[in-house]
Amino acid sequence: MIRFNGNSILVVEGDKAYAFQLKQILEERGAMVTTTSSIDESRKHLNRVDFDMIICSQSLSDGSARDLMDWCKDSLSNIPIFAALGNCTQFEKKQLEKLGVENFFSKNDSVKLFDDISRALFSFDDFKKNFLESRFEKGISYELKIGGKKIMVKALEIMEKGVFLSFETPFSLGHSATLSLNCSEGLNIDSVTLRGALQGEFAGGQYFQVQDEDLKLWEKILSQLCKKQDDVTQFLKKASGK
Amino acid sequence: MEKLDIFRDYIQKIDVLIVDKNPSSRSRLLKIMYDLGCKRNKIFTAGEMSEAEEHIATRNIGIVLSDYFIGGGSGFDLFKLVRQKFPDKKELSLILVTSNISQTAVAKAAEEDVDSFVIKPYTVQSIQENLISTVSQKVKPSEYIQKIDLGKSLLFSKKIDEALVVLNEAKKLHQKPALALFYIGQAEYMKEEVEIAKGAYSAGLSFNNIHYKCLLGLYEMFLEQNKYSEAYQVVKKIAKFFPANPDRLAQIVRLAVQTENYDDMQMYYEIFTSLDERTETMVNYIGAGLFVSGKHKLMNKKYDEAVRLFDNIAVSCSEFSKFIRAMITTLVEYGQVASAEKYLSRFPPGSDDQEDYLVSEYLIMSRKGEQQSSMAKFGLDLYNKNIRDPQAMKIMVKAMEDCKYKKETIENFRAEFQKLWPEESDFQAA
Repeated sequence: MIRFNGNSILVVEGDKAYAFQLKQILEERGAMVTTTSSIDESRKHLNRVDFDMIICSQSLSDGSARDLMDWCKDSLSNIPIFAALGNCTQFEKKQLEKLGVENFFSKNDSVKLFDDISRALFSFDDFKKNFLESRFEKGISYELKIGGKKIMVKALEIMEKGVFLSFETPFSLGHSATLSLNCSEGLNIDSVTLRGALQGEFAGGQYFQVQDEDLKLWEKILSQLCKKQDDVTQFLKKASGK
Repeated sequence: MEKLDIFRDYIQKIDVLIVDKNPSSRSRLLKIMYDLGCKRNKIFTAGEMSEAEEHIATRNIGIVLSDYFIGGGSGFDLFKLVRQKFPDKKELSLILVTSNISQTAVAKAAEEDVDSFVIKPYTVQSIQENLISTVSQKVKPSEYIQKIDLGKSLLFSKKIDEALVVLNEAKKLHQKPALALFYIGQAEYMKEEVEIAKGAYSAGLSFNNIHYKCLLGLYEMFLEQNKYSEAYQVVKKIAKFFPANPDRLAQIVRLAVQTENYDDMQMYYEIFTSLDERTETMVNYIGAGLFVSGKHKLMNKKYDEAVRLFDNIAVSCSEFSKFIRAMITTLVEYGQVASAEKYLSRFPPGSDDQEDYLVSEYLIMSRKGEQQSSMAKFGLDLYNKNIRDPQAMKIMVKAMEDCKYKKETIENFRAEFQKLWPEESDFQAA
């Protein structure tokens, strides 16, 4: 059995594009990552290699995260730290917790995912810092802080005084919140936090209205986004020569 | 006819496909198309590639709005499929709607000839204007584009002289006619007028220094003529502005080595790490390029720079154990045993009984004061496993000599060594 020095991760995920992105980001930070897309394939790797961590999608073509965890308990002498990826029902979550699964990652919540991986696996601070600098989508990331909770959200449509955000748990209207924007590449903004409140609902999200005191900052962000859009359009036009 | 009228007229005749993993995003885009006058029963949505493929097979798709990453592939993969399905549909409008605003994403969109790139989040007004402008230009292209399209089809029919007449007319219709000059370059190259073709591409670039097709035309021409230094200078510029193509990056790395531009390798590695997709060939090339450049640095006693390049291999190319073995062999050869040893842990899972790992471990062991009797024994173990490595065999034979093995046995090993590696004359003479 091969044993690495505390940073080997098996990613079990049917969505190959997502698995590749996760592998890429983890590898850029020095982790050894193996990806598989089925339980059967995972077993073959686990029989040969002593992984430190398994990040496994809830459902796979030939079973579930629970099936793989059951097999690990029956077959392996060293059970890796196990993290379930994707959303699951409370019942499924309890079943997995009984088996020893401690971490549950949402695919859209990359900051929490990196935070938990680095806490679970790595002892050095730099690794975590580097992880937090990474983003799946190389652009702006949006984090909503509401009622003491932090959730990663997607920004869909911008308005003069706010933005439509997509996230799963609805909050009551008028609920105060802050929206943090972090840009990893491509925009002349580092990190900005806007104060505001959730003002309206739509399917799969809510409208975040920026409070009056922060509107100037919001205008600045809007003008940066417009400039970026113009730059991208110009670049495409120039590159194609049309 | 106004742009909006052209747009509205077009969307009555075709179906619209919206592909995005996020359901809210899909529904917002659907509403935007509906508000622009598209009938609800002509808008189709999909969350992933397989779902989108069903619509492509059965609908008369004329506009596609897709995110960069979709389940089961990318927006570009989807656009390729749509183009294959509707090869003659000139009005087909392919629009990327994404929050991925990295340079590689934008450059890939340019390379893939995507019709428009909309940054998410967008304002309703900006996306509507963008859609109307993009689609109307596709449906009613300018006279310049119409002439170029005609010239292209004549070129495809091998009517080169006729094509040149039309393309030269097109050239007069645009202030910066880089695209017309590119096709003129193609036509001249087809006539084997290499210098005239080169002149046309260069003229195109003098109007527009990042014109993708002219850069690529010039690069491919130099490459076909084996003018590697010239080709490298052009392709370095392509890599700077259009870093997203893994296959071409592989060629650039190869050319950089061929033209001994080792100092550029770190830059290519950084481009490599920013790629959204990496092929196995690409990983192989970047690994080889980093290794050769690192070895060159070692030869020039620039140890820190060499280790920096090798570290990149350890992180990004370690699935190919041949690179780890090569790095360890080279570092041991240059007396950098501590650096070599740290790469042992970088072998991929399942390597501990494989040749690359065993040889690497043996070479490191030889420099760590292991007794000669052990080195001879372990060397013979490798030999009996049918593993042949010049450095390992030298170490084994030396250890056998020190331990007074039979002369005849040693001579047999030397003879085999000479047969396997005749260029290593130093060892044979010993």
